[in-house]
Amino acid sequence: MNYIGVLLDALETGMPFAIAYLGVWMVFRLQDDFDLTVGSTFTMGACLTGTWLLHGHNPWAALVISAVVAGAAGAITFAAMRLLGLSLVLASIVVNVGLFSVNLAILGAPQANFFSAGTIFASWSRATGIHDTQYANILLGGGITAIVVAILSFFLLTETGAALRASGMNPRMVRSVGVSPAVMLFITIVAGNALCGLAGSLVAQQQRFSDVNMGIDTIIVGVTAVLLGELVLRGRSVVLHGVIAVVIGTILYRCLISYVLRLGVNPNYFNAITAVVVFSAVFVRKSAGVRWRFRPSIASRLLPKGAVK
Amino acid sequence: MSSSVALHGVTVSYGTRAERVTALDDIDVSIEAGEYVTVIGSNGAGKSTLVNVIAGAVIPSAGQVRIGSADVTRLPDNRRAGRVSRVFQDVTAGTCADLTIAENMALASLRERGRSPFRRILSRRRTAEFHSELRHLGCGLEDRLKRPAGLLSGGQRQLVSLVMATMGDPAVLLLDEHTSALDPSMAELVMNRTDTVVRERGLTAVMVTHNMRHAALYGDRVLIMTQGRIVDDISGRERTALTEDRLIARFRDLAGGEITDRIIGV
Ligand SMILES: Nc1ncnc2c1ncn2[C@@H]1O[C@H](COP(=O)(O)OP(=O)(O)OP(=O)(O)O)[C@@H](O)[C@H]1O
Ligand SMILES: [Mg+2]
Repeated sequence: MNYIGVLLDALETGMPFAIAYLGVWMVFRLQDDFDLTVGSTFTMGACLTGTWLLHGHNPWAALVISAVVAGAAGAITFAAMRLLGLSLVLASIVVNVGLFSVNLAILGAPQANFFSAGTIFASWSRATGIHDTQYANILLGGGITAIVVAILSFFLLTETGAALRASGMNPRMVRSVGVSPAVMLFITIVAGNALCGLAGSLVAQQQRFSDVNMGIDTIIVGVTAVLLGELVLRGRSVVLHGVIAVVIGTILYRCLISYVLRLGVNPNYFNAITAVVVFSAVFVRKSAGVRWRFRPSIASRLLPKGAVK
Repeated sequence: MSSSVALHGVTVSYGTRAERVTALDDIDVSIEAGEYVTVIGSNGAGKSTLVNVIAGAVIPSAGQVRIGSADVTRLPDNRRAGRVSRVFQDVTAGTCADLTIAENMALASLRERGRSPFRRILSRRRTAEFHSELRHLGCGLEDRLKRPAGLLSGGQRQLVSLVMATMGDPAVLLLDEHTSALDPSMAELVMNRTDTVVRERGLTAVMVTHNMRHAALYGDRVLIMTQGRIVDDISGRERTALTEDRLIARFRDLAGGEITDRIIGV
């Protein structure tokens, strides 16, 4: 087995996914909740990009549009949650289902390929003169991921970023310093989905292929990547043990996948493999004494009125 | 700048129409700027509700709340935070366990208006500021700025909360039984520190306590509450002459009355 090859494959295909999983991580770890909209918003990025590129538009603009539209879709989930008083999980399941039709309408077909369209990866390798596609892809994907990691880390280390981190853990305290936890949750959901849309666009451009089902496992693989990353990098620092751990976790997961692929396992079994990996990661965490962090439910954050000790 | 606080006809009731609990019953009280008020009363008398109404965590069903000249009755707590700061009874409530002490203190400075929301927490200048704030406590907490607040003891967390609550320039400081979860010596330390800060800075402060000695020792004025009403208001010369024993006697008269009322009422 060519282990270097496994690693290179993982880096090439994994980098764009790391961005999506950072979006999953934001809601999962900073707000202690699950936003299932990410499945659709990832796909939405890919579908928008497909249609956009097939019309011959600028591939860099596709990244921006995907992120913005996906972020707006996240805002719909937030609005549904607030207006109807639903839990985030329930609101996002409903929006997720609804967006499936939207994605189908955007792409105009269940799948589309655009092998001859111009993508950012094509213009990048042309601009840099790197002919080895894999190296070029790793450099560009890694570069964009690094930019996202840098911006996210910088934000999380500002006062507002600290308020965002605290809002999921201690909403009462966050309110007492003048910050609305609901606004922080809104920012988290919108940013998380924007990252997923951006990642969907990147993946579509790299594969030159979009499919209305391609984001379906975003939430579960995202959680897997978070758990794997946290197993490797354990601690409380939000940048190293949070943001960077997610990237490492993604690469580990992709290594596993490309290893299994090279073993010749039928890709239909991937979902089962993912499920086993999730449970194994949880099991290892438990035996290693890493406890799940339980935090106040979303209800206590959004319904501030009442007895406050 | 310390501000006055005034409540006019404030009523708070909880529950449904069939089972209504009146936590505050038509309260009128005004607290001057720089006044240090202690509040005592039996369980369920409405002390926490009073504090919550001033903080904005509970919006009254009737009446008016003013801080300084501003009517803040309808303002929710997060929009009053520039004026009101508080230390909670629950030691885990005032700080965020997973954040470092420095990050918690940085959060507290979000209360100050007109700051850039994207200030970095860990700049050298901020760290030095936090360091000197904590050094005043004399507990060695300044060396643990980069450790998570969750690793502190309850008393230490309460001290950090107190420092956080007095950062910036709160118009009103609210303390709801903030030492009740602490062991006696830690409670004394936190109480002393509270008294020093309130006096030094001339803060308007409202402090709820069940400890009669503390109520008699600290503050310029004592309010006694039963059943959602302020039934006694001891200030001026009477307050200066107040001893723990006299306060207990007075409180017992009032609380005793409450008990008879209840028996007759039911
Ligand atoms: N969220 C709530 N829902 C319903 N009733 C409440 C709520 N909060 C307080 N109450 C009721 O309001 C009354 C006053 O409560 P409050 O917490 O203000 O009392 P307290 O004087 O602070 O008591 P303690 O000394 O026990 O802290 C009590 O009868 C209580 O049961
Ligand atoms: Mg109380």
